Amino acid sequence: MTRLFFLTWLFLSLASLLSWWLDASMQGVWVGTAVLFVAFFKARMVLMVFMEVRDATPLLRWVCEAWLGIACTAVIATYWFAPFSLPG
Amino acid sequence: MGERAPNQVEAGVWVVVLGELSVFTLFFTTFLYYRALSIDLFHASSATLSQTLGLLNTLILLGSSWFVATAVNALREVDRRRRALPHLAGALCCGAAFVAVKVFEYGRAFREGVNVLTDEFYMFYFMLTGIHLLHLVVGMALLGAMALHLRSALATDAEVSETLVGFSSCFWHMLDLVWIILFPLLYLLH
Amino acid sequence: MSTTQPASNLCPRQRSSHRIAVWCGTLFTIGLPLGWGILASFLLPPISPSATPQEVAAFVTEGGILQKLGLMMALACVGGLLPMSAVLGDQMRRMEGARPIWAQTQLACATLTVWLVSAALVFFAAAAFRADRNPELIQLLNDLGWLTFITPVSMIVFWMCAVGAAILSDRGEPSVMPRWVGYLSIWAALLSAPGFAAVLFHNGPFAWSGLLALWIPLLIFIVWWITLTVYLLKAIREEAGISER
Repeated sequence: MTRLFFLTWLFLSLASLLSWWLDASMQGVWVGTAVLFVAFFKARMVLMVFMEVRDATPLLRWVCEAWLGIACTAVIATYWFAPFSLPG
Repeated sequence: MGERAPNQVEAGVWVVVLGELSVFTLFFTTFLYYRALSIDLFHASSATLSQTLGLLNTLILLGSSWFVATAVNALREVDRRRRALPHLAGALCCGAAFVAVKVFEYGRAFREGVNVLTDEFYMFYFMLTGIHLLHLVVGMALLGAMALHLRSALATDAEVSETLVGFSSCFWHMLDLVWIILFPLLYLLH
Repeated sequence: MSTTQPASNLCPRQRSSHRIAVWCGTLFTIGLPLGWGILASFLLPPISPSATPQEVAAFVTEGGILQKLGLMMALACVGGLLPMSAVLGDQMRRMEGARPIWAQTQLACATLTVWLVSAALVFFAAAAFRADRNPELIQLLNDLGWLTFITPVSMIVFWMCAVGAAILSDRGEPSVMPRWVGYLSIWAALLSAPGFAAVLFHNGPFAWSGLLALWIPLLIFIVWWITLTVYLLKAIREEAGISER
């Protein structure tokens, strides 16, 4: 358990360094998308491992996965397609 | 592995956590929407932020989350309960370091004559990080309360409050999670 | 931490008055958006803080008698919050036991909310009262109205926190309200907080007409209120059940 937490922490820190390096060394909308994807993947790891959702009831697990899916789609879609005209 | 204690955080905690996450998602998309409306301005202003400080704060918060997770884990086993306190202290130090870096960052911005009214990017930057910082201070208060409670519970061999531990730790991880997404949005996207 | 539940003495007659008092809260939560927001058209859409004095004056002039009627309706309805908060305080006293500080905080906060919302409405009414005055003065009254309405979030935050704290400190079996309502209150408090930033901005999501200062706190207040109404009615029903046994 402690080992798993340590590995997760190590992975998250390396992923942060990776997105920082990616952003510093390359340009373009794909880099931005990749950085956002990495961010949501990290968010998923925090939820599943640190917040122990993977041990939780199926309902909570699905709600969390649903939030991740919706949030990731909404953020990346806005990043790509905005400004769109809002209704009304 | 295998005989881990089940997740004991009560369901109500998730009302706060998922509620907060949903609203922060709304903040993120609002930011990206306004960013698309004046993309050059957002790029130019975002370039003035120090990515290094942002990265530093990301690493600090990740470290604090690790401290909190191991502290909660230690509480599950009676003979290791004592180890939870130094880990909580570590998390609190990380929280204080985060606040210090943020204050330094704000201070530098103010010295350069930049504030919340300078332009739209800075409005979002100061408001989003400010709201996050406000939550973080609440989170630190919760962790502090948890540490005090733990100290007296260990001294008298009493039960540890599940409510306080579950809520404080989940709230703290949520702050980390929000910052994980806030960091690329504000500091990295170019 | 009394082991014996305080004697429940909600007789059928009291039960109906408690119910009526809970429903009075509806007056506030429906009457205010309906009167101020829709009839007086302050929410259709909200006037921007960056509007010129002439635009603000035109808004007030065009509002005419309907705007005044809407404001009157809202002014008449806001007091409905008080009976509801009395019932809420009564139930919170059951949660807290002998020395109920959160119940008292709650009542004070509800009272101040009613007072401040009324003050905001009076500023709008003063603008409508002499719509032909200097546009800059109309703008001043409009600013005062909106800022009084949006920015004093402190007591709303403490109100919601007090309710949350009381629900979460309830050690009785069965509890007066489900614990998630307590967590919902804390979430609502955190969400209502960004309103104070409306002092800073003339446009964007944190301005008084924006998503994060106006719409989300308004929506979350309504969600919170619906939840409290449902569970207050349930608590009254269950308490009456206990006393009949």
